[in-house]
Amino acid sequence: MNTLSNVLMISASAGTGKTHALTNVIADRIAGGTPAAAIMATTFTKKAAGELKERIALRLLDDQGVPSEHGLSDDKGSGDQGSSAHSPVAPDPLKLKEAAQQLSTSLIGTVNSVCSRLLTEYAIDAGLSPALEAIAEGEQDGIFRLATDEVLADYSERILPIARRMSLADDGEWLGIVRGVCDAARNNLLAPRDLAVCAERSWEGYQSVLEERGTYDGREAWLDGLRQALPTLQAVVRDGVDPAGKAVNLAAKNFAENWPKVVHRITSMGAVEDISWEQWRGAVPAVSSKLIKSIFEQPIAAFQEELLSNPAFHDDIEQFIRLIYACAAECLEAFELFKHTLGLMDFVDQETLALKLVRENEAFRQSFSQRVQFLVVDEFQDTSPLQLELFLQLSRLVDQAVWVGDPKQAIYEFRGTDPELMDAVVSKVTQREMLSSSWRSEQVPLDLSNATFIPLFGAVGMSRESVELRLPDARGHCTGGSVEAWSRTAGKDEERLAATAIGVTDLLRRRPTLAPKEIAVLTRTNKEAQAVAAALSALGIRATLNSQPLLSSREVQLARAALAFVADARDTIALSELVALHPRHGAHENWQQELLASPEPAETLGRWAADPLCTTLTELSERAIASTPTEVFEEVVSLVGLPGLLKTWSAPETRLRNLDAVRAEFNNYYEAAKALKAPATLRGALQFLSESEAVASDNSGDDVVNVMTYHKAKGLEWPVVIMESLDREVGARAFGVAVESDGEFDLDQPLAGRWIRFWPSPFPYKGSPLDAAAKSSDVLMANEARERRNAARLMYVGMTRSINTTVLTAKGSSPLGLNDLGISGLIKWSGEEHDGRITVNGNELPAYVQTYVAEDAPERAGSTSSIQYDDAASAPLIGAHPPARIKASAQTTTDGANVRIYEHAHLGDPLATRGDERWAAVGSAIHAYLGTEYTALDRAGQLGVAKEILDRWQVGDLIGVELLLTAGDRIAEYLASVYPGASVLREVPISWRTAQNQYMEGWIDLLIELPDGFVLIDHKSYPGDDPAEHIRKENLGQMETYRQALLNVTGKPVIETLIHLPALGKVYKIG
Amino acid sequence: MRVEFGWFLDRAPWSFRSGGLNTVRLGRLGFVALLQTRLGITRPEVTHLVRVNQYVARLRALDNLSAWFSTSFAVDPWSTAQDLLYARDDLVANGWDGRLPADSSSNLLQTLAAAEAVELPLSPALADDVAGLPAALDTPLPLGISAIALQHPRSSFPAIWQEILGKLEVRGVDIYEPEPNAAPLPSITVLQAETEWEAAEHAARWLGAGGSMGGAVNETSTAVVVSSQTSILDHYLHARGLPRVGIGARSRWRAQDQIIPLFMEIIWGPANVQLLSEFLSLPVSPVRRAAGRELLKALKAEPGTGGAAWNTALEAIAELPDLDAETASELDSLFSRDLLIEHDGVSGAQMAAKAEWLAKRLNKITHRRPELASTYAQLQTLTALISDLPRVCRTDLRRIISSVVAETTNPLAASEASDWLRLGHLTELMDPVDDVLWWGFHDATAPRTRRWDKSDVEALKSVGVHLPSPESLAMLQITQSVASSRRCRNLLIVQTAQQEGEPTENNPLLEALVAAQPATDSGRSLRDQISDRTIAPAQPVQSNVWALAGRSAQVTPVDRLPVAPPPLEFELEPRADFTPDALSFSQLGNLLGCSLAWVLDKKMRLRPADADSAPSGNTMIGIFAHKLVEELHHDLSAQLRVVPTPEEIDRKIDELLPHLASQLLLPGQSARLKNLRAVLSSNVMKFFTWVSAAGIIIQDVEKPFEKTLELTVDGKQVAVPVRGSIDVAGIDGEGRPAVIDLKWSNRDKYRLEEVREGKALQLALYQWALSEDAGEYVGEGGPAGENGPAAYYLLKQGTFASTHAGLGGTVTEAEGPNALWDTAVKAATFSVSEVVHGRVTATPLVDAAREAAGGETGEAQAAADGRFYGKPPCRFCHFSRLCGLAGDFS
Ligand code: SF4
Repeated sequence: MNTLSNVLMISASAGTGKTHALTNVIADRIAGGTPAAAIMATTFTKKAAGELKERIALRLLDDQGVPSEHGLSDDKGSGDQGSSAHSPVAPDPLKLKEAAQQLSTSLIGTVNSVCSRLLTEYAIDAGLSPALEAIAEGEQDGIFRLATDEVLADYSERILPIARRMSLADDGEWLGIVRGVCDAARNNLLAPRDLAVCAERSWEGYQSVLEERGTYDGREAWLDGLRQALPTLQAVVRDGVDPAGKAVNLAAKNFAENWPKVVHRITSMGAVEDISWEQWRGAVPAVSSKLIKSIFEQPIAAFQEELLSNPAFHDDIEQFIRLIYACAAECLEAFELFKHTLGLMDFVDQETLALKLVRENEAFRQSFSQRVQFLVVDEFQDTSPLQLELFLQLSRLVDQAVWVGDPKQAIYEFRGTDPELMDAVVSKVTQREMLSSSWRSEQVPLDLSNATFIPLFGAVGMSRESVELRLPDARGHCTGGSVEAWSRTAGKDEERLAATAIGVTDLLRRRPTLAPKEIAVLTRTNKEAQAVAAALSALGIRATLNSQPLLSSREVQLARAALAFVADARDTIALSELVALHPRHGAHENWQQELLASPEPAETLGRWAADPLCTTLTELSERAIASTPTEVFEEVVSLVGLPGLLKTWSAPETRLRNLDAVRAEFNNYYEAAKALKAPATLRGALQFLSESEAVASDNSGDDVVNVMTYHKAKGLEWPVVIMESLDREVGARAFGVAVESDGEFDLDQPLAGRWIRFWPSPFPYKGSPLDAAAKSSDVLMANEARERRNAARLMYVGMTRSINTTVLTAKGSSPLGLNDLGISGLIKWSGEEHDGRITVNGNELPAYVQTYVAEDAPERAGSTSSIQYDDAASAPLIGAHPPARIKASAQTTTDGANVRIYEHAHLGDPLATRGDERWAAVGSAIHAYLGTEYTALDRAGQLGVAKEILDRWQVGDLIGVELLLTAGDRIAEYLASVYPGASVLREVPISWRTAQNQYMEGWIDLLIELPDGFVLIDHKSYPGDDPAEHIRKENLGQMETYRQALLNVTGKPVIETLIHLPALGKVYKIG
Repeated sequence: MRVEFGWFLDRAPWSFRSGGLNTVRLGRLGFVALLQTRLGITRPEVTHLVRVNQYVARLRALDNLSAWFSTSFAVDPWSTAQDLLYARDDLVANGWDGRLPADSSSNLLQTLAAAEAVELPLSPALADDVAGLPAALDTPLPLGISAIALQHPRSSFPAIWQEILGKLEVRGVDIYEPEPNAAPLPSITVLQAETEWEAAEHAARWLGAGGSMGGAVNETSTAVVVSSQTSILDHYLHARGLPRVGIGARSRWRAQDQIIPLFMEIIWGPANVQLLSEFLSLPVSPVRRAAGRELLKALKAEPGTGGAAWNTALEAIAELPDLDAETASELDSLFSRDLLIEHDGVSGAQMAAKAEWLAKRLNKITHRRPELASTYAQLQTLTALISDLPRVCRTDLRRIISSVVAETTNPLAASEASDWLRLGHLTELMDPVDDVLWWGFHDATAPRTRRWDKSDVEALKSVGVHLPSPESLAMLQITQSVASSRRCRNLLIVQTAQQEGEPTENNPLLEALVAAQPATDSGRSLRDQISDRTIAPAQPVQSNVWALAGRSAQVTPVDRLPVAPPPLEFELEPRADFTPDALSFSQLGNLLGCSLAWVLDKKMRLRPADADSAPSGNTMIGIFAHKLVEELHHDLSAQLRVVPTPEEIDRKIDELLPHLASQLLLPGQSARLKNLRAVLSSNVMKFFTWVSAAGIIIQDVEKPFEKTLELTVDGKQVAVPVRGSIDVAGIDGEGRPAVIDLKWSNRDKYRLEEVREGKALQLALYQWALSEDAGEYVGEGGPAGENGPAAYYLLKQGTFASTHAGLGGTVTEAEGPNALWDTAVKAATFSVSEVVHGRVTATPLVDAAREAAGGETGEAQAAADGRFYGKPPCRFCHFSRLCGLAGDFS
């Protein structure tokens, strides 16, 4: 059965308006009547999700929903070009507006956010804690270590001795392998028990590069051989003549460098079991002089010949493989258990659990298929095997699924995606659309990429039409553009990258209208990107990439010092840093001299700490107990006036972002604490910050050249793209952890047949017999082919980023890397400057060709970043502002002592005396009764209300209903007798804004409006024997506030202020 | 009374300019409270914590292995109960009476219905109050409400509220639906700032600038809508003399709220030194400041508890004014002697006993620091929750604590009175104003509501429970925002691109607000219309006038301040007092390597915080390994033996770990510890074996020495005592003194080189220190063989670095230690003379600068002078940000 009949695959080549198509697909669907809440769409990044939502909303609100009949076709939609198409049934604009407003209810987000939302909503179905939150990316390593610690400790006894011989013990290298196996297993849905099979198969395969296991272990003999030859070497050193009696130049570089190494390496060899394979291999460095090698010829040869059949070597490899898998299996279990008990999960768990729900939970399946009708997966080529299975399953539950992606841009294999698996799935999809109109590039750069990639991808079976990019009719005029080729002949990488930077300055000179921000330089590695950025900055051009550690930037150092000083004023280093970094500190100018010259440094430091800049910080530390580290940080930034100070420094925008990045670091710190339910403090935050490896924020602005890796460039575009690192050839190894799959692909079990191969390599450096043997292995061949395809895709991504101009670079005139992708001699260039040409697979493209060398280039003046402004008028004197709100009951009066408070009426005998600690509840109950219009009820009605109140306040055991009724009767009679006919208002809301803009809201218990003013009455359940004093202390302020408020709001005065004391049976009067 | 009622008005102020009597503006919460007051059905408030716990009890009564919620409940009872209670309240608030709708098969509804029937208490909440209203409104009590003006159409209220409104109408209350508002839509400006700081600067300037209506600020009425925290905005407002908005972030990480979690971690064994020092250095710590300082010092010396340094600290505490031996003992008991061990089984009562100390201290501190009252209350709650538990496991304890210590808001500065209206969301705007500034727009998102399965919704409908859909609520918020926007003329929306390092998501409200605008230029797409209204912070300034959304201010360009690296050399008056009082090997190294670092440390006494620099990593292991060898030697020599047994080593490691490296005993460290233990045992064993095989008899470990170094500075004799201790001192077969220094580092390469190249100054210094007579070593260098054996022992690698054949040395160094010592004395003379002449230099930086300029390297220069070259001590230096090495002068 073809289970993919409801799936549409849209292949969107680079620059063909994928997001646009995606937007249209969804918007059209909504316009066609599918509710927003029935849409689910996953994207690769958060940013993409946000953008998608925004674009859909824009389209729904904008077009009034005229569906783009070309939603899936090649023309970019109407949004940008004015609406064109007419639809058979024009949807109701109002409906579309509503749909746009409901968009927040649709499931649009990254795979992780969508999974996490589903899991939270269906947590109980899934048997999970509803409070599950995913472990933040940065915490995953730490938590894995914590969870698997015991297992690792347990295995280390067995693994360590072998790991040492395999040179995989240091820096926890073998732990890294275990982790790698675990990750691969989880990403491919392999259970712990599956790993034993993987071990078996790995070892089986490994044997193919070994020789048959021998029975003779020659290691003792190797050692003897080395040791016996050693005195010969020492004699040469001592006597200066070789064994043949010829004089030896002891000072010759190679000899002088290598003989001590050999001596040390051999003398420090102990028992053979303690000697690593690499130690054997490298006992005599391969680069040693002939003389040295000849002395040790015999043991070297013995090792080379015997290694691959050495039984101990066989045993080590086999045992190591088996132990790693066994350990990984147990780690997987321990990790699961740990997360389960702590209520933790990571991103992979989210996906696994979501998949489990989809596969196994009928309630979920029903609910989901009731809810979601339309599923869209963006960047389909980048889904991991696990995600793929999830999408397959989900696609079966919905009406229609659309997968959007480009197999040519699958570049995340290092993160566990598998392009081949994706291809297998995609080949089962019958409905397909292909987008191949470029809405990005002009003709000439398109020619270059077409010429390059049609043959390259063709060689791996892709059709011409799935690769070729062409200009759509609407862009028929974009026939321009250019390509360039830069040769940089320098031998050292760094110098070559510096020459590229020179090329950038030259380009800016040649094309004066080009802004630096319109240029991107793409590299293979971060390190290369850093080198380019550094070279650019040496030329006075800023790059986006900022590889400085966050902590090394001046503003962060200053803020950190201030924060450390707040945390501990005795931290005199922090104090000195403050002085050193802050121009406003009194001692800043000449602090070193002042400190060093002072006879009593402690006094000087004391004076520094007394500077206003520091004292404000000391005061802050007093308040710090109520604050979070972040709040203290923000306060510190403000107290030292950092944002203002920054304006006087270079790149202020970047520096502000750096401050923001510190807050991000603090959040990471909290995340870690939260995951483990551990405490977090200012001191801990400082510690975390000092250990942080965060890098400073990227630079931005018009004057900044974009420098980044090809991987990061995905999805972006620039007018000019300079492709770096094109000389890098494919380098594959047979060793390491890799996911393999065998058997035919089965749509119903897409992950069947997948297994993890682990081939350990005991030789960290080249030159072992093992490496030589592995050269011709199938595994290496397959890996090389795979690497080649990966590299081709990465280059495709790079070459399709440019709008106007693509620049190729190479050491000479043909980029070795591009020519190593499967078609030799694919690209080369010739000619000079405007007379140059690039030849691609026989096609000639006119190009600007230039050679750059990193010589002392003219230093450009430091770039001028934007002008910063400050207020012209100095800040007004800081006036004190009263609190925003007045709470009447919290007000006090100043002249309370002079106010007359006296008994005004006696209503009857006291109803209660002296309350216990539950008196407050009794008071509330009385208040509750008096707050109702009980007078309007008959006795039975009153009784009902009173009983209900006693019940609700649970004071039936303390007072009886009688109390409430009597209290109510008394005050009602009193009011009726004193203010006959006047209307009595209960629980009257009043709001008031004072002249000082303080704001008050409150409820007045009783208010009687007489012609010439108000009578203000408050109930107080006070049961004690000094009501006057009590009122003086507790109520005067409140009554005064109400009086003023009433006067202000109504213009009418309060003519009488009474306090009704129901428990005492009295009415008191104020004033 | 006149009531304005709407879904978004719970936080809305009742009035703006005029104030009002007998008129009120209420949301759902306020309106329910009002009706309850009027109907006499108020009740005591019950905290959420209590209700969730009650629901936990109900679920527990229902729980069995096959129960639908059972797995979740077992994993996390609290959150499961909270989640289900939320669902239950959602139903009840819409009129559910607790009965299972006929033929409903949903697990959720069945569970909720079953839980409703359990006869255990569940205190009512808002939901129950709402549910009770339709019935309660049947009483004849007059309500005193004359009219209700709805904020949004009656039909947009959930069904139960339409019923309530219906009943009110029957009782004579006039219900007014909102008139369609024909007022024009405001002009919208979006300030798109990069960071919150940038946003705050402009927002504050805007608020401080003249009103958009031309005149002074107070002639323009302004509302400030605040949808996220304002701490940064407040700083800017404050700096301009404007009132603070005072909205704090919700957080559980306030120092006061961390006291309990910290305390509850550090009373368990093994000691967590990091957390203990955090506890001791809290802004207000339950441990007295002076006592805390002593303990911190101890942790800095030996990162563990109960060892020598710890005990010294306790003695010091006992002697402190106001403190006594009892306090010291109490602290010792809490944090070291009587740590709780989970494995042994710890009861709630035991925990409560520990908590008593904290309660006592908190109670005392609260008099001085009332802020801590809430902490004290939390502790009471916690104690009540745990004291009856027969056994407390740490995981559960942490969970309980995190439910007790909830998130709080508590801005450093509170809200201040302002002439602008303060709102939480635009939907709260009910009074017309001229200008609105919307701060934290990206956070003004739609409230999340629970999503119910379609089948549940249908089933409930059949019993009269009509659940509002999330879609309708999302729409309501947007339409209401647009409607409210008509009450202002000028709307300034402040957006930031990133917030706490994360890019912010766009708020769909913006599209809705702009889409509602009258089309000015037909054909402009909505995206363009938004960007037409968007302004970046750099844009508003034209010829020194800043103008934004109708307001303007004068500004001046800021001058760049050049930032230069600090000088690398200082010329002071001669400073005789800079003569070293004494030198140890490492101080000598610092002095030779960087006199600035040495002066800052030794003479200026610049220090990091006490809590800042407890040894960890390799430093900690190094200290530990030294102590291990030392103690093993003591034990052995008492028994006249020379080589320990593996068991002895193991036992010693166990004994010392808690005192010197307790970190290694914490969870997550056992693999590391195991590895370390294996390396240590084998290499320590190797050490004793090799030493004895080399014929060296160890006489002393950590042998202290003091010897005067006579230097001639400016022709004057200067005597500097050199002090220190020799890791291992002994005699070899020929009766010569032998010295061995123990090292723990990742690589052995540098030590081997040092020895090979004759630059092992430390060893030379020890040999000099041990020699009887200074003259023997200073001056003419004798053949190396005459000196006793000297070696580094590299503990991690288990190898010696030595020229001595018995200790694995194979080659003879070119020159003996005497010659080396000679160059060292020259170097010391040079450096001391520099500093006493008042010349203090960041030597490595001076060297580097000279080298960069094409000059000699520091090493070459020293060699030319015949001075020992002191390696730059920068890697372990605290002053790199002061000397400029780690400075940013861009
Ligand atoms: S970092 Fe280096 S140069 Fe700077 S003070 Fe320390 S030792 Fe001297």
